[in-house]
Amino acid sequence: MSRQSRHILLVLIIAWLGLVALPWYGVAAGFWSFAWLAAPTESANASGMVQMIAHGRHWLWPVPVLLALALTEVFRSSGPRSWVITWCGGLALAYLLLQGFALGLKGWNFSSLETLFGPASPQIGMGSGAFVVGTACLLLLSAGLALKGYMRGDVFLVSSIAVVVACIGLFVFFPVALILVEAALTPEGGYSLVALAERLFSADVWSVTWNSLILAVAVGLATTLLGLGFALLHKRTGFRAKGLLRLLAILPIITPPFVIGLGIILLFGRNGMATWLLNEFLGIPPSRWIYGFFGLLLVQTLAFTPIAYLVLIGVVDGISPSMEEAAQTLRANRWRTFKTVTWPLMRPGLANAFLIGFVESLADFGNPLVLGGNYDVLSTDIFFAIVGSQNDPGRASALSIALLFLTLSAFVLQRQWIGKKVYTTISGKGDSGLPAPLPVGVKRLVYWATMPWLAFTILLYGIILIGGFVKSLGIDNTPTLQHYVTAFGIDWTEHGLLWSGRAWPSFFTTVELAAIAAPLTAVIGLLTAYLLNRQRFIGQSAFEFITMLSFAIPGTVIGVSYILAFNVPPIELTGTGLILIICFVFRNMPVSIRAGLATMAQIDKSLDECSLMLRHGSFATIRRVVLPLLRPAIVASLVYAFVRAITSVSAVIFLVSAQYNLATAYIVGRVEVSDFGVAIAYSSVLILFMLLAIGLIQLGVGEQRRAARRTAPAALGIGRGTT
Amino acid sequence: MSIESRSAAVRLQAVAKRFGAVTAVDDIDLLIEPGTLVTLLGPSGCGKTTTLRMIAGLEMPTSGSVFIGGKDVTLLPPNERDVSMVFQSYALFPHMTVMENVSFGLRESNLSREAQRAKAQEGLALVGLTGFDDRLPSELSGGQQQRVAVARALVLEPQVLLFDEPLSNLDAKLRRKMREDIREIQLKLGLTAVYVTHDQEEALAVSDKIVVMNKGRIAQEGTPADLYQRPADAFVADFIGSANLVPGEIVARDRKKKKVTVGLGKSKLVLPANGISGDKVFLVIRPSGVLLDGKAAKSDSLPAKVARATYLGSHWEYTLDAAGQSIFVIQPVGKRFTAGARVYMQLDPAQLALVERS
Repeated sequence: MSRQSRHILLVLIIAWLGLVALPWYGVAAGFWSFAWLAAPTESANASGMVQMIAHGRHWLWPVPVLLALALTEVFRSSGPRSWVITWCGGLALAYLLLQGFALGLKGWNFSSLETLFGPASPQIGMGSGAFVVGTACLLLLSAGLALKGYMRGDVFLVSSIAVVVACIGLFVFFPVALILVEAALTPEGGYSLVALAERLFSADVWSVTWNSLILAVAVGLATTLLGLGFALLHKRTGFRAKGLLRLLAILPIITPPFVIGLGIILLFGRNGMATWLLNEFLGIPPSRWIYGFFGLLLVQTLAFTPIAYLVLIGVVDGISPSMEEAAQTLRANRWRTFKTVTWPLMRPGLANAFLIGFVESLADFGNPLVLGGNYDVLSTDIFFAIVGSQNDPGRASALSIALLFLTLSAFVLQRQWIGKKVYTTISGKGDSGLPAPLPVGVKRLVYWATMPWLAFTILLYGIILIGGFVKSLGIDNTPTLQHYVTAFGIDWTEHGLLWSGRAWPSFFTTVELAAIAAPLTAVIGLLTAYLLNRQRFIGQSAFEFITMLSFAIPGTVIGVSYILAFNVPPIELTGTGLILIICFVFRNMPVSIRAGLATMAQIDKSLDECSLMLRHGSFATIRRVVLPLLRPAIVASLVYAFVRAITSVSAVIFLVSAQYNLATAYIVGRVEVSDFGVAIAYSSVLILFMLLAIGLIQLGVGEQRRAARRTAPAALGIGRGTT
Repeated sequence: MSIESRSAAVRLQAVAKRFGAVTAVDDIDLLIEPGTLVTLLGPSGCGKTTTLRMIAGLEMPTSGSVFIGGKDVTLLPPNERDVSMVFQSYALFPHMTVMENVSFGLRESNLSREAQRAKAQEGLALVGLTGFDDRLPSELSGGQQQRVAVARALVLEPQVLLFDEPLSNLDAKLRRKMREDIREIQLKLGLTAVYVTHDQEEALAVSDKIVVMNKGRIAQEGTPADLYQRPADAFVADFIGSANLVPGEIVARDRKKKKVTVGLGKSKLVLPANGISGDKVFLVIRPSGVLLDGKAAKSDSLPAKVARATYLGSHWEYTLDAAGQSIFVIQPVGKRFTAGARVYMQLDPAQLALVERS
C-alpha cells in the first residue's frame, strides 16, 4: 500500500470512529465531559450511527455511504483514484454542513423544505462525533486533491491550506456575513432589502457614525503628531532617558484598554484629584466635562500614541542618514534638508500611522464604555443594542456594518494606496553615517510637545498604582489594603487554602483560557504565514486578502457576529469556554501572521528548497529548518497572543458567561458600579502579571540558540491588534 | 564508507513552463548523458534556472515530462527524486553546524547515526574541509561555505547533481579555483551534473557539453569547441566569447567544396558554407582572430583606424573603426598603435565564422 493510501486509510478510520463511537450531538455537560459514556445509546448521547438506526435520523445516511465508498476505493488494486476520494470527501463535507443548516432546533429551518420532504425530527448543535467526521471529510478532500497533484502532491500542504481556509471561513467570514443577513431581518421574521436599507440609513445610525468618525480623525491626527514627536525624540535628539520611551512602548500592550480611562476619571472625574485642586485653588466648580468627546480624545490619544510611536520609529529609522548627508553636501542647510528630504520620505509612514490611530479609535471599546458619557460611538452603541434593554440585533448589525465599513475602508486605503508608496531606503548595503540633527526650532517643538505628555502618562500610571492602595482616591485618601484583600484574598481554613478573593475565579479563567489560546494562535498564525510566504497555490491572493482583512474587523463586530452565529445549531458555542478560546485565536491570529511573515521574509527561501532537495518532506522541513529559525516570531506570537487575550474586552464582553467570566469583563462590571478601588487593584495586578509572564515566556522559549547573527525584529508591538 | 556515484541520464521531453502569460521555458527537448557535466548557459531570464528547477522538482512543468534514469519523475516532489542541488546562495542552514548541515540529507535515510557521521566526514574530506565539523556556517569564508554546500549535496550520492550558479557569490580568483575543484570531483566520481551559469567563460571551462538558451528555447547545444567555432546564430556567436558581428553578403557559392565567398565592402573572403541558405550574413570575427599591422601586407588585409587603445598589462585592447564598423580586437604586447593610427587587419580564417542575418 502506498504512502498516500495509508494516509487516506488513517483518515477514514478516524472518520468511522467519529461516526460510530462519539456522541454525534453536543452533550450538555460539554466537549470534554465523559458523562455520556454511562448511557451511550440514548438519544442525547448516541453516536451518528446509532442516531440513524435507532433514533430515526435517516437524513444522515449519505455520510456513511460516501465514507464506505471511499473505504472500498483504498483497497483497489491499482490504488485509490483521486477523483473518487475528492468527491467522497467533498460531498460528505458539503452534505454535513447542508443538513446542519437545514435542520435546527425546531425541525426544518425553512418551511419550503418541510413541504418538500415532510416533517423531520429536530436536532441540536453538532458534537464531538460530527466534528471529528467533518474534519476527517475535509482531510479526505485534501488527500484527494493531493492525489490529483495539487501542491506537488504534498498531502500536508494541501491539508494545511484546507484547514486554515476552513477555520477562517467558519470563524471569521461566516459570522461576519451573518451580520449582513441579520441587518436585513424584518420585525415579522422575514428578510428584506428594504429593512436593510431602512436600518442603514436611519438618522440615528448616521449620527453615531459621525460621532465615531470625528473622534477617530481627531485621535488619528493627535496620535500621529505625538508619535512623530516621540520617534524624533528617540532617534534624532540627545534625549537621555530612552529606556523610559521603550517602557512607554510596551505599556499599551499590557494595559487593559480601559485602564487609562480609569486613571483619567480618578484625575478629572467629579471627585478626581485634579478637579479637587482646580476647585480648591482656582475656584472652578467640578463638572462632567471629562465624560464625552474631550475626555475620549484625551484618553485615546494617551492610549494609542505609543502605537504611532512604534510605527514611526521604524519610519524615522528607515530614512538613511546618507541621504540626508547627500542633501547637506548639496548645499542644503538643516532646515532645508528636513523640509525637502526627511519630511517627504516620512510622509507615507505618517499617513500609515494616522490610519492606525484612526482604526484603533474606531475599534476602541473599553474607554468609551467608561468615559463616553452622552457622546455615543459605534463600538459601545453596538454593545448596548445587544445587551441593553433594547436587545435589537438588527440595529446592532446595522451599526456593525457602519463600523466595519469605516475600518475596512481605512484598511483598503492603507494597503492599496500607502502600501505601495512607502519608500524603501534600507538596502542590503551597509549604510553608515550619522543622522542629521534636527533644526533647533523643530527640536524645541519636539521637546515641548512630548515632555508634558510623557510626564502626564507617568502620572496616570502612578495614580493607577497608588489608587489601589487608598480607600477612595480623591475622597478618602487613607491608605488601605482593603481592595486587594477583597479581590485577591487568600484564606487559610481547615479545608486548606481558600481563594476567597472575588477576583480569583475570573483571574484563573482568564489565565487558563489565554494559556490555551496562545499556542493555538501561534500555530495557526505561523502556519498561515508559512503558506502565504513560502507556497504558491491557486487562489492565494484571495486567501491572503481574506486573512489580512480579519486584521480590520473590530472586536465589537466579532463579538456581535459570534453571538449571532454560534447561538444556534449547527454550531452552538455560546456560554462555553471554547467560544472564548476561538475568539482569542482568531482575533489575535493576524499579529501572529505578521510576526511570522516578517521573520520568514528574512529567511532565504532556498533554505526550504534545499531541505526538500535533501530528502525532507514539507513537514520535516518545517520542523527542522523553518521552526528553529522562526524562534523570534514564535516568542513574539506567544507573548502577544497571551497578553492580548488577557487584555481584550471588546469582543469577549459579549461572550462571557457566569461560568466563564474574564478579568476584563469583571473589571468593567466593577467600574460600572463605581467600585473603582477593586477595579484599579485588579488592573494593577494584571499589568504586573503580564510583565512577569512576558519575561517567563521569553526565558522559556529561549533566545535563538546559535545563529545569533540572523536577528529578526521582535514583532512585539508592531502588530496593530485592536482592543 | 565512501562516496560513490550512481549517475543516471536526464531526459527532458517537450518540457514547457508558463507563469501566467509568461513562457519561461518553451517546449525544450534535452538529453543529458550519464557521467557528463552539461551547462545550461544564457542571459538572465532565458529559462535556464527554471529548467534546472524542473529537473530538481522545485517547479512543475506546465507540459511535457522529465525522466531521470529512465523513470518518469514529472509528478514526483523533490524529496522523492534522486537528485541533489547546490544553491546559488549555498542555502546552508544557519542554525546547524557544518557536520549537521552535511549530514542533514542523510537523516531521513535508514543509515545509523554513526554511518551518517562517517559518510558526512567522507564528504567533507572530499572537499578538503576535514576538521571543520563543529563550525557554524557564519564562521566560514565564502569559499568554505561553497565547499560545505557541495559536500552536503555529494553525500547523498544522487543520480544527478545540480548546480545553480554556484560560483556567482565568490570573487574572481576563488571562482576559478572552485570551478576547477568542482570539475575535478565530478570527473573523479563520474557524476551526472547539470550546471547553470550566465558566465560563458565558466561554461567553456567546466563543461562536456554546453546548452545555450535564449528566450526559453535552446539556441544551440554542443561541445565548447563546437559553440565557439561554429555558432548557429548571431546570438550564440555573440554570447560565447565576445565577437564582432560584421554584416556581409554571400556573393558566390561553391557547392562542391562547400565554400562560400563573402563580400565585405571591397574585399572578399572564402569561408566554409556551414549550412547557410540565405545571402545576408554576419561575419563573426573573434577579437583574438585579427592581426594588426602598420602597413598593407597582402591583398586581403583590410584598412582601419584605431579609435581607442587600452593597455592591460598582458595584452592590448583596441577598438577599431573599419568602414564605419566598430571592431574590437586583442593584440599581444609588443607592437603598439596609438589612437588615430591607420592600421591593416589580417583575419585568421580559423577564427572566423558565418551566421545568418535575418
